[in-house]
Amino acid sequence: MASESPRLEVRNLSKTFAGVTVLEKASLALAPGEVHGLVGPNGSGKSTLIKLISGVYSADPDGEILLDGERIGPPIKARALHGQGLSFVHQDLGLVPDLSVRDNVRVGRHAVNPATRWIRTAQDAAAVSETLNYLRTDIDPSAKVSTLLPSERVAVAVARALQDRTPGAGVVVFDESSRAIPHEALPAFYDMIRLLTSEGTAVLFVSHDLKEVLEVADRATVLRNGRVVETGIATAGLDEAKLTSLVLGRAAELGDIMTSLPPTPRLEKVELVDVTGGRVEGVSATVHRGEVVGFTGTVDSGLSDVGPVLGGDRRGAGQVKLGGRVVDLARATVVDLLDAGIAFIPADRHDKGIALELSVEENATLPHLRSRGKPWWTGLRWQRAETEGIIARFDIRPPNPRMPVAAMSGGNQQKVLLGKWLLGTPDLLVLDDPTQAVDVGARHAILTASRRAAADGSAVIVCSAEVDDLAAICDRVLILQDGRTVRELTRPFDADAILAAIFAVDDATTPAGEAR
Amino acid sequence: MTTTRSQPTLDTNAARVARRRTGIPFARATAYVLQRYSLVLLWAVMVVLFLLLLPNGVDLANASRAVLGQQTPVVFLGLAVIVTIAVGEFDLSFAFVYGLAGTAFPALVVLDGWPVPLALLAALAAALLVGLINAVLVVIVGISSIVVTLGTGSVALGIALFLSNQSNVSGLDPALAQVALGRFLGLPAVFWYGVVLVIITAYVMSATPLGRSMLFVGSNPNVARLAGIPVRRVRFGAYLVAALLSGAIGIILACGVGGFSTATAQVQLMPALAAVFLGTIAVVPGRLNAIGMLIAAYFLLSGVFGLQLLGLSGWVTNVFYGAALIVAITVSLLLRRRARA
Repeated sequence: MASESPRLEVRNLSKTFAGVTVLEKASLALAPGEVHGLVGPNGSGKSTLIKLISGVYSADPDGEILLDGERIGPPIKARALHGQGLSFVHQDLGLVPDLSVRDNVRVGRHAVNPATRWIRTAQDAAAVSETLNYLRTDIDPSAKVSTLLPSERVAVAVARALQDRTPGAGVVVFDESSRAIPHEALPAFYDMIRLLTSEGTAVLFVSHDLKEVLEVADRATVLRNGRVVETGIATAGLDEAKLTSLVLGRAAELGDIMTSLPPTPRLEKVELVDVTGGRVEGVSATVHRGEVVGFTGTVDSGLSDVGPVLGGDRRGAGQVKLGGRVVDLARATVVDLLDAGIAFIPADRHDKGIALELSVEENATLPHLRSRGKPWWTGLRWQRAETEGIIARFDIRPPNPRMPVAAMSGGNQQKVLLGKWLLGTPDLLVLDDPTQAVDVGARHAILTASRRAAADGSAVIVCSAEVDDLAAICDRVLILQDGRTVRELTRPFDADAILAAIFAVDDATTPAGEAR
Repeated sequence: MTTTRSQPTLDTNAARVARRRTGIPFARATAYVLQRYSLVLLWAVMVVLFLLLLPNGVDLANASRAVLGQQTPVVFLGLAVIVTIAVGEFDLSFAFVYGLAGTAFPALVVLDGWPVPLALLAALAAALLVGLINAVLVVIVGISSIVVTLGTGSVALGIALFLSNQSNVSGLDPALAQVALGRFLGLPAVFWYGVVLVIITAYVMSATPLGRSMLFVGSNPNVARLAGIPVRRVRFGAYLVAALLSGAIGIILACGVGGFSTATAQVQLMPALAAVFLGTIAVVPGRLNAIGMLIAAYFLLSGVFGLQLLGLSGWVTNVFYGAALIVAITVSLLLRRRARA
């Protein structure tokens, strides 16, 4: 019986590059109908394992990959995988926004007229509708992907992975897919995964986010340094701390950040007066130097606009008063903000934070060239020295200042971004969603660095929906609702208290009759 | 280099790979040289090939002087291309701007009797005007740069043909020829202008904040903007500088020859682009760089010169420029891929 054997089984899979073993004898098994989490820090061999299964890399000869008990490789024939029952949803979902849902789902598998080789659109559309119906969505197959909601795009990507499948069969691998999905669409995504497995399909769920894995996965496999540390452990008996210590090989409690860097408030302060822009409507607040103040709220609270308005990434109004200077946000250019000592670390790392094909050194020193260099000479020594300093301080790996940032992991890229703005010891540091898409180790480093920036004398504002992060580093937390600050929490508080405050506010101020 | 200082605690794959790589310094050094100087090596191979093929042999010193002494706009035009591509723009009008300025200057002097300084300023102004229109339409209005610059280029060429009555202009004061032909160390002034400008461009782009700004504007305009770089001004300036360089070499070459052949201007499109892209495989592999472009330009010119000595000309130039570009880029890519594996 097929159901007796695992849907997907990997036995003793290894990969050696130029004599270096990056994955050593990895084994794991996915039972029918289970969500299996695959976790591990950057460089642990996670993506190597996925690339071996998907046929991007060829594995060393002694391993085995089996689907429903049948050996499919190595060598893996990438083109045959979908037919054999193994499909992948990658990080960026791989959708072309300007094409229709139908074309996006059917790409490479179009139904064609055997004589003319023309695409049979009606047949394609019917097949796509069937798959989408199975996923319980009513997306129009002829709609352009660019017009869809984020949660619908996820469904389209999943539909592509599922098409031509017997319901309940096969394996779908989600390779860090949740990175491409905004917070608000994640619950729908998780529901879809559960729907898949409820019929017997197995899911391999690769993620850097341990909390997510605990929520979605039934069992998990942990990779560290190219080896499987644990495989098939039930997530029911785990909490985040236990899983973290498995992943890192040590405990990385976020709680120790406040203890090692206790509050050091100073008299000098930064004042936000009537800050407005985007969904933010008249936010005023005082942040002392040496203090970390969090902003949080629900998705439509205006939270995502606070950072961009303060950092000059979005037109706004209002004032920022720092040390006798008054910056008028309606008129200030980015240069004015920088000169006033405001550093802004944007949420969208790849689009706004760092230039990927340029080196660590070029990225890190960019904002400081005006003050540290001369118009006719950037100066080499300070650039190298400061970059080496950032690399050492944030433990950036590999420690090579000339490496293009694109070649680094997400966590290390974020460290470069942080280092770039902390180099100048800003008066006001504004971080927008700083721990997005980084692993546990990097998260700890980033949060510690934010806290340390305050200890070094900056006033720090953290805009985040991650209540655990806020609880770990903030002295105060301001809750936003409809673009205004409606509540302030002061220590002591924990993550649950912040979460409760966000939703308490929401309930209290949203009468039943009010239109949403 | 710096990857050698791996710490004992680092046990990621990347670190292990890095450690392994440093274990074979000779192979690494070879790969380094091959990567950076593949073009120079290819050049040497080509020269040897020509020496073997040419029936009567050739005087290498004379041949070099002939190649380096050519009255060619390729280096100036290549710089114009580099300046625009570096900031993420694509200006195809450069060859036509070169034609416009090169035609306008002698035509205004010879056909319309303008004084030389006034004609010179007018020709430069015409070139700058095309650059300005490009900049306004692309940077301010936001139209695709390829479409805009092809359009303005065509207009510029048309105006040049109108100014010259659709024929070759000649008859400039021969005294002006010194501007282009005056010799220094046995090579004409045009060559030295090119070298000096290449050095200035290379310096500005690699060692000044302006160059770093250009790099970031081209690589990620959002990052540049949030770091306080005036992104629009940089893009705008690039179009003006490109137009100025293209116009200047038109005027200089017109001085050297005493006139200008408008119809030949657009022929310079391909060699300049080929030199720029070929240049990205030299010196700083994978990056636009002026010195690489200079090497590539004379690599291409000597290739064409050699083929001419072999009695081939005309069609073979096009084939050579195209093939050289594709072969060199392929070689460089394969080398880089091998170095990574």
